[in-house]
Amino acid sequence: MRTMPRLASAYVCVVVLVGLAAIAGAALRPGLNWSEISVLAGLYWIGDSAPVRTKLRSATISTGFPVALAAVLLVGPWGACLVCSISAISRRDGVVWFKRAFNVSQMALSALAAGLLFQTIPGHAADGFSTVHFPQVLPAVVLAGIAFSVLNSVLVALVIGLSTKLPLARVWWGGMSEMAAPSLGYGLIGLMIAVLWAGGVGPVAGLLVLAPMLIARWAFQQYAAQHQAYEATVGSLIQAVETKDYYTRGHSERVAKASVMIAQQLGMREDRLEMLRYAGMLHDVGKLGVPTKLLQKTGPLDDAEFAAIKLHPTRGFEMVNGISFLEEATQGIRHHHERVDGRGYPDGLAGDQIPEFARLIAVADAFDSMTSTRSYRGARSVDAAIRELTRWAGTQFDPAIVGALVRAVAVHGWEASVDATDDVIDPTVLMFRDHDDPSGEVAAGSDFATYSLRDEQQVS
Amino acid sequence: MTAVHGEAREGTTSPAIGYVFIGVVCAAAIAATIACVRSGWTRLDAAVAFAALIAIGELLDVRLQGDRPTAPIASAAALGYAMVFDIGGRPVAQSTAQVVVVVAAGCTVGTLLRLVAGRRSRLTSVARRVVLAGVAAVAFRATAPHSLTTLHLSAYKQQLRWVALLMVAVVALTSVVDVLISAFVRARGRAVAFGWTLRDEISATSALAAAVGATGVLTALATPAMRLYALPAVCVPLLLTQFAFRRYAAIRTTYRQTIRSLSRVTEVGGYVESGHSERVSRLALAVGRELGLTENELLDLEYAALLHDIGQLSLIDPIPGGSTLVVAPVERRRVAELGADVIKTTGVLDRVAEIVARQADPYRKHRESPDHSLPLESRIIKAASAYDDLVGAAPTIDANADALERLRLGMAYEYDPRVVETLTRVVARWIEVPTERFRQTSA
Repeated sequence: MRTMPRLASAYVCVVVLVGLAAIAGAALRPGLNWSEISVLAGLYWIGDSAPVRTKLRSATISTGFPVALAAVLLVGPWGACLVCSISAISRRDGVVWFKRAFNVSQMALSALAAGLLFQTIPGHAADGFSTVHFPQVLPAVVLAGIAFSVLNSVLVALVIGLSTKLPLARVWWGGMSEMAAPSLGYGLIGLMIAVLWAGGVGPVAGLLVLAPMLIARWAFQQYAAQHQAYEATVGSLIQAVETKDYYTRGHSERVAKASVMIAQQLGMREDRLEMLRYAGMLHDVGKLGVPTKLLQKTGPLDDAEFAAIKLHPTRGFEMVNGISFLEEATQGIRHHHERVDGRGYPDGLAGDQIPEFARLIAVADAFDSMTSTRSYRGARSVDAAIRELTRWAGTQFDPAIVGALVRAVAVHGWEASVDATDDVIDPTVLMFRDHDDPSGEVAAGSDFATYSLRDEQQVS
Repeated sequence: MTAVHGEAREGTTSPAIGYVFIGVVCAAAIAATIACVRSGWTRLDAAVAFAALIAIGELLDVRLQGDRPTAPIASAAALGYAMVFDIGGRPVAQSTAQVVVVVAAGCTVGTLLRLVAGRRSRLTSVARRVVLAGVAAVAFRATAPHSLTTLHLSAYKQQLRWVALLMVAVVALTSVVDVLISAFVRARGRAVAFGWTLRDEISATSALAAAVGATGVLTALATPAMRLYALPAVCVPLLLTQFAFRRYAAIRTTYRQTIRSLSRVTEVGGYVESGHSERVSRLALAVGRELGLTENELLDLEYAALLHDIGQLSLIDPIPGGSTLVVAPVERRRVAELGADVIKTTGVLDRVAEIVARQADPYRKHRESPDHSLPLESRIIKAASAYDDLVGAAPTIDANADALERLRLGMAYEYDPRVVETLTRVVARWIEVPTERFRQTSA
């Protein structure tokens, strides 16, 4: 709490005090249906505990809200206020006490306000929701639900805004826009609990409605675990493949990272970012399709042998083409050696014909090669690498993407690889000499030396 | 969801027993229709609404582990219709026959819509939905109090919670019947296979089945108050569940496709013959299934078979022809261990790594009893890989006989006799019913 700005602390204190007062006031009111309140509190506790954090935006599964709304409809504003106070003992670990107190208070206050509003709306189920006229009851329920979630998001946005000093409206809208669609669904679920409960089914209704949601939560957990396993598997298999055979450790990983950094500067959508990361990780996988003896050959290569080496993007594409989930990524792998002037390979595409992923990976690939230490040369500084990339923007690289890389590095910095000095013989020496230089005349120099020389040859 | 072809496995398609099952269900549906036409219909609007929801539900399918197509919304609606007893405060007493007809009609329309959209349905799964509804309808009518479908809601409101519990029991019973039927069809009626098929069936489907069952009960309980508005409303939580299961199914498919793609690494690298890993994994799976491995074990077996040669990447010179059969046992074991090391670094495929590590071990050393710590999966891969090395990509009947002879000669020392026997049986079946593999030779 000490780390928060004074205004934010004051705000938290006020909300907590008012919330506690409301809860205390609610507890002292006569005529509450304590048995229903405690059962609802139990359901709320089940729903509120351990929400799953998935990678999906807008799909964090907290099943607390429907129960809270059902409580508003079933046991009135003060009862709902008490039901929400149960979250004080929820199983969420690692939440600081004052945040916990704030959360309890803001939920209790939101529920109270929504309940009071619901009571004032004419035409709602007058006799305590026992005989429901469906769908006439809907407007009142919808209003109460909206009041609940708006108040909830305002109270939370205020604390975030005050402690981070971001514009309040933006914080609030950011949270609200993400919450809107799920809230609607959850609201409907809450209504269903209330209707069935009041209709005579009782607490079993809560369990029946929550069961699919709890099972969904379980499935999301399975998904998250499997996703993690997938990441780990792909990562380590790629690593094993690349360290055993050709490249320095972590090249693919770093290319993936740099590509994502660039794409973020370009404002790429989240799901495409993930695809791009996979494309970056797998971009060189096709090198395994090039005969080893060719890659390790020390003498000059003839045209046929070069043609074989230039097959690696196509081979990589063929390998990952069977992974339907990679969609766009496969094109990025196939075309990452195209040049914007059309003199790249395998298809000699130019400019915008080259898929965006491929243009991104090409820049990230060159950037990482230049800033990495190789046994035959030291790493270039980041600045030197950027200068070099800028020089070839427009011929070899897409200028917009090089620009984005420059901005990304300015914002996030770049941690170049720091090893390979203890490798006695690095196969990349042999590979690199051949792989990026069709002329065969360039000695095992730096990667960008091959780019520049190649270009000068064209000029002269 | 588009069909996840990667998950399709041999042995899960429905042969004769499946057709018999579908035929029986169709006959029952026709008989029910005749009965309904004679006795007249009850609440036609509700019937149409439920049939429509079932048809839509057929379009929203989810593929569960082990190539099990399910349609949660359709199943939930079918269960719900079987137990609906009151709509908007007015009792409804539709007959069991009408339930069967409505569900069958919904399923048929849904299946036809899928056909129009170019998507095929597994007919046994669709037929199971009709049975599900029929069993639920019979069980509910046999146990529910008579007043439920005759009196006004207010007369028994206090008993409704007991009705809810009764419905839960009915749904539980129905689910058991459903799982038994499914396992029976998948086991192709073979008594031996029934046990482990049932176990796989339960572990793969019970979670989603519970969500579907709860939603079915919910539908029947919600119609008194919410009338037919209940139908879209109850779908909301189930759609969320379905979404989660789809994500889960998608990532599993991706994982599988990725392993399969990575297994080709050794082939495009020129280390092993093209298609070797894929063929070994197919053969190993067939043998493993025959020997009664669970689905999870089969998955590990498949991954291990696909990746069994990945250790060759660490070799400086590829083995000529890629066949590990011709190199010394020491070298073979080294390849196995190198491969296992690669797989172990993933941190999540420990079992697969162990299988790969021990794939080169002989079944039994000279004058020793068989090593019981040697995983069955390793023994399967050893035999399947050797067989494939011997017959190659385009096997002829003769090559097949030679290969089996060589395996048999190595039986009891190099290879597990039980595995070789099973493999012989599997291959014999493949020759009898020409699969892609043997069709290639005749062409």
